[in-house]
Amino acid sequence: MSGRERSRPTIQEARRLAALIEPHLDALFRAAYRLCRSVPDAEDLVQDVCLRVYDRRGQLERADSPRAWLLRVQLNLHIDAAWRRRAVAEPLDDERHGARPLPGPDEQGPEEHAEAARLAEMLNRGWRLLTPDQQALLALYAEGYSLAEMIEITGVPLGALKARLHRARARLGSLLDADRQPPRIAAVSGESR
Amino acid sequence: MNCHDVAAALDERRADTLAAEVLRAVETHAEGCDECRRALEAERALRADRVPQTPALDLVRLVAAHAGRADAGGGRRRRSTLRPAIIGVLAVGGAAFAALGVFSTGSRDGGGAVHEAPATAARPDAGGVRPEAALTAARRSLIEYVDEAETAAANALREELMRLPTPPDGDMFALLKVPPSYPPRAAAQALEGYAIVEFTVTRAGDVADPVIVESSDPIFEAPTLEAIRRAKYKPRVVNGRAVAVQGIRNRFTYVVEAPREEAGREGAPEARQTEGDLSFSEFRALLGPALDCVERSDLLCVELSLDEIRAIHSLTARQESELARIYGFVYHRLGDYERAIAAYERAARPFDEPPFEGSDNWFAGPWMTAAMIHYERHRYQEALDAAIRYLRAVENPRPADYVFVDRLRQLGAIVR
Repeated sequence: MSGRERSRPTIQEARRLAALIEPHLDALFRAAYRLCRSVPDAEDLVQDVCLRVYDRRGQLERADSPRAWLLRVQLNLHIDAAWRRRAVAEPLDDERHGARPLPGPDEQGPEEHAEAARLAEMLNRGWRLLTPDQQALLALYAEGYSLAEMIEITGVPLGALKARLHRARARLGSLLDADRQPPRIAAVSGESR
Repeated sequence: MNCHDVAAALDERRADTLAAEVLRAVETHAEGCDECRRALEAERALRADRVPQTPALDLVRLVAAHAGRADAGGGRRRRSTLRPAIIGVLAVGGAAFAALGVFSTGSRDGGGAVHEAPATAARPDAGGVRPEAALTAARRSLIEYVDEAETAAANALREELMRLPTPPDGDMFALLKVPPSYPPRAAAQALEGYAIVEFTVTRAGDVADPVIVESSDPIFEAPTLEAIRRAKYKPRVVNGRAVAVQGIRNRFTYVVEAPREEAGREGAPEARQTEGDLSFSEFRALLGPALDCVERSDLLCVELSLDEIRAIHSLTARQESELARIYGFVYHRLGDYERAIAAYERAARPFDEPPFEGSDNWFAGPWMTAAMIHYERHRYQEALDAAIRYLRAVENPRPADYVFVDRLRQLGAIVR
């Protein structure tokens, strides 16, 4: 019997573990969405957490706060995956312009919708340029976790956590700021040729 | 109030819950302090950002999927009655889902004609004769049957979209960006830099004629060209026709990043198991009884047959995908949209990262069906997300697929 066979969960074990995760599914998905900024990717991340839980079910069962433990696993999975990508492609402003959605129809409340959509796209673009650790801290922050909870989840000491959180906020703010500036290479707008 | 106080205020309480006088003090300080202004702006952007509703995930199945084997038993929900498929009335594409309603029971008012089953799954007992050859052919073709029924539905929607009096125009955007490989020599020297590449996005959404217009070092040019050639775009659409766009520029930034600390780290997820114990023909043969159930419009029987296959056999990723697509088809017919969408996504996701060897339009199809179900339910954002996954995976998208995406954007969905 191989190790893989031995580690295959029985349906009873799977149900028991699923019952442990179920109360925290909403928190996991919300944090995953904040991290990935896409529903399918967030679902993938939650699924990876579920796969991981079986191997470490003992830790989950012994954890003082299962939610904090699950979130820590999730953040680490996200950070690991993100750091493996060593190079990034950053679109220029002309293409950013191209990615902007068209105004919605009248019945959608076009002005409000367009503003919300514009902000969401700016946030998406800025988010991708943050480091994975900054994304992790801001995802928890956006979800309203307190500093004490964030310490429990991330294991970062209070002083360092405060400094990193402030830097992460300022970095995101500067990226949003930069996004509002006119295109850096105005002559190459996608529509100009 | 100083920067430290602002940071502390934002740390402890989100700006929307700060007392009015504290918020005023924060804002006053931020007016004269760039860093705090940006921090406050970021806080507000995050606060305004909405998170979609948590989808219904089958946790038992997910946990049981460990080691690549899902035991379907825990996730089963049994229904005592077979409901007719609910055919939504669409603002656009009302007939589309009629094509999917091939197994609906009872009559239907409106919503288009009930389509006959696809030719490859022609009823073998037609005319009172049940030739063995026809039965064998039909038993090999349940998967194709599902594919053809869904393709027919998608085509009906495409036709409706192309008949719109004023088809929505839409600009191009990137569907897929492939990270460049870091040049080994540059990595060894911890050399960082960038390259700006200019290219044309063709009517098919491919990248053509990429040229480097600027780079910090020639070493970064080859991987940049290689990466941009593999990118995929949704082309610009004007009056229902895709047009090429020239002069697009991308900047590729190469940054050497520090290795992660190992202490207390979770390891990388295990690779998904892909070996199975059934050959192609054995798997198809096992689906024979399920096709019999389909022919009797007994969808619960189909679900049970599929569950049995999953419970007994270890399946390859492709077989799992094919099975998931049939599950999606069944759940859709049963009107269980959430499970249908989950099944379609399960069918498509393992093959979602092109280039996947053996990837073809078949594996993109479930994303299109998922998008159509969302669209039918007026969930335009989810529909757009799925439609984009479809465009990423499909080899030869049709112009109507681009119009579908632009229509969803017009309805308020955003590219994220």
